[in-house]
Amino acid sequence: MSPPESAPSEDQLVVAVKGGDEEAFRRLYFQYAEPLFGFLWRRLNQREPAEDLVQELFVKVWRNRANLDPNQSIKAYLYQAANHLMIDYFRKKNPVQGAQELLPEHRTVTAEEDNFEKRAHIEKALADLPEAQRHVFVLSRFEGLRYTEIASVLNISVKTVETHMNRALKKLRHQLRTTLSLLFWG
Amino acid sequence: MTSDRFPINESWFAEVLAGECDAESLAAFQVWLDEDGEHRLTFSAYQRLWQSLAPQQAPPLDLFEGWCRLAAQLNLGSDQPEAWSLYLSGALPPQETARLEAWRAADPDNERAFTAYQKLWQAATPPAEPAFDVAAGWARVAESLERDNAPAQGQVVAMPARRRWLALGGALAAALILGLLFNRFALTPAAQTVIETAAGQQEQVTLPDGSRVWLNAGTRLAYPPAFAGTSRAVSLQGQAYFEVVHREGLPFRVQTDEAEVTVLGTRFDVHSRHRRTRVVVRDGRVALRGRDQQARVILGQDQMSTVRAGGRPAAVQTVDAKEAISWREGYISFERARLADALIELSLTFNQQIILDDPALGERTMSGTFSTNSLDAVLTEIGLALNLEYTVKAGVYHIHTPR
Repeated sequence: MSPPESAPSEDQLVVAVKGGDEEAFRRLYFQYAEPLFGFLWRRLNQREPAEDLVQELFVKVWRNRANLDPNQSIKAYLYQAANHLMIDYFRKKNPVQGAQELLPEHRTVTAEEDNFEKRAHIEKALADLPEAQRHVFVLSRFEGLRYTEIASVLNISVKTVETHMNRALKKLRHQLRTTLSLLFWG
Repeated sequence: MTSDRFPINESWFAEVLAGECDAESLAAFQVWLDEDGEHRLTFSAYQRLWQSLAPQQAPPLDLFEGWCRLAAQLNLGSDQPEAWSLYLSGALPPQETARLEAWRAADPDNERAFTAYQKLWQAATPPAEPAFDVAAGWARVAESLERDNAPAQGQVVAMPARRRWLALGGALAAALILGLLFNRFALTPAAQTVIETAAGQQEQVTLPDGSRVWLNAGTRLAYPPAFAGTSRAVSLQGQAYFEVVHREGLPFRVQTDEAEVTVLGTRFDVHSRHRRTRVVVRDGRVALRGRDQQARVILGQDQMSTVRAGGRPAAVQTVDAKEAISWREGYISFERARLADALIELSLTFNQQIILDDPALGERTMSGTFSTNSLDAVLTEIGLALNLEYTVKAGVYHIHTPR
């Protein structure tokens, strides 16, 4: 369940990319393009813009490679950049409204694929979470990021991540009690 | 026990579920779990909650195409598409050529990406374009430009005019080729996209719905630029492995000369040669019927059936599907195959002419999995099994009985 620890070679990879090593950059792309695409696709619900944003993201990484910080988690850096690109994308698409309200509901999948009603409840419960809690929860549950990584993606403290996570879980437990016929203590 | 309805801090559950616990904390949690059946029950409810919130799987991303796009946009080094076009037109300097060839040989993925590009290059190149004249002309222009602009990058030092031309000319060519790559049949929307692999060549294709197809050597796949209507239909001659994306109410059909394969979302191998179609299913369920026939069989995981031209599907057999698709990993596999058919496969895989001196030998049957590293090794093994020998004459392999 726990996401893999960043391999020791990860900082070396970042150092190499920073130094303009194209092969290192290729490895970075092959390692992260797919998960980042998944992250963007789940929010955009469309293949092409998600593909384009992944492309744009890596173009930016390469062009700004001098600013890479080998002491910072590259994964967190990439998700942070992806998050910004997505917000820009929604802002451009609809400049009148704020970007935040436009983020669509997260798509989930239940074990019984045919149970639409149940899935709708789950997605609604997720959508009803306060935004900060939802972001934290999704990055942890859907994208497998560590608390420390989520903290740097969203620019908040690890303590705040923990608090959001706990509150999100509590709310979801309450919301989905009947839907999932969950038996809780008490 | 506290007065709280929950005897334990919920944040502990969150940490456990999110994988944030260290070993010590996890051990303590295990102790707490084992203390009481109620504890276990409570936590299992959280586990179910966590599991029910699983993310939806994104469609597959073609990393090779993505990387090609990226490399073209960023003008990355000579192992990248913009240099490939120069290489293919014979305009790449020897040093860079050696570097590119080493890169191709380093990794089958590299070679695969290059082969795909080469095919597009050939399709897009006008027959009598004198590539080198253009190069020389542009080099002169670039040189005069260079005088006005201070060199921006350190790498330009070795061969300034040339390098610049490489980057700019390459980017133009790459834009043209990649434009084709992503919009292959933009000019003739009704036309089918046709991908053909030559002998000794494999290729991967992503279909408009995101389904992926791996083509073995000597294979032809045709599909529409977009799937319209009530099903997704492609046609195939040769051998291909499919990973079909599930689309509710939109069955996926593979038509061969002999048969029709219908699926919803699954992974399977279709082999259509020698007037016979064989289907092996890795997972999911697949329906197979002869062309213009009603009778059909349903195949599940690790099951296989064949259809001969004009016939109905043979009885379902159990096979090792992994073996049947091992051609993607550099193996070739035969199961109760006629020697004549096996040799046709081998000559396609190795791009090598192989002749049976006595055609009657072709009726012998054989089974086995072989590495596609060396044709000699494969033929030696087959020879041992069937008591045959081979001789190479003028670059052609001849199979015969021992002399």
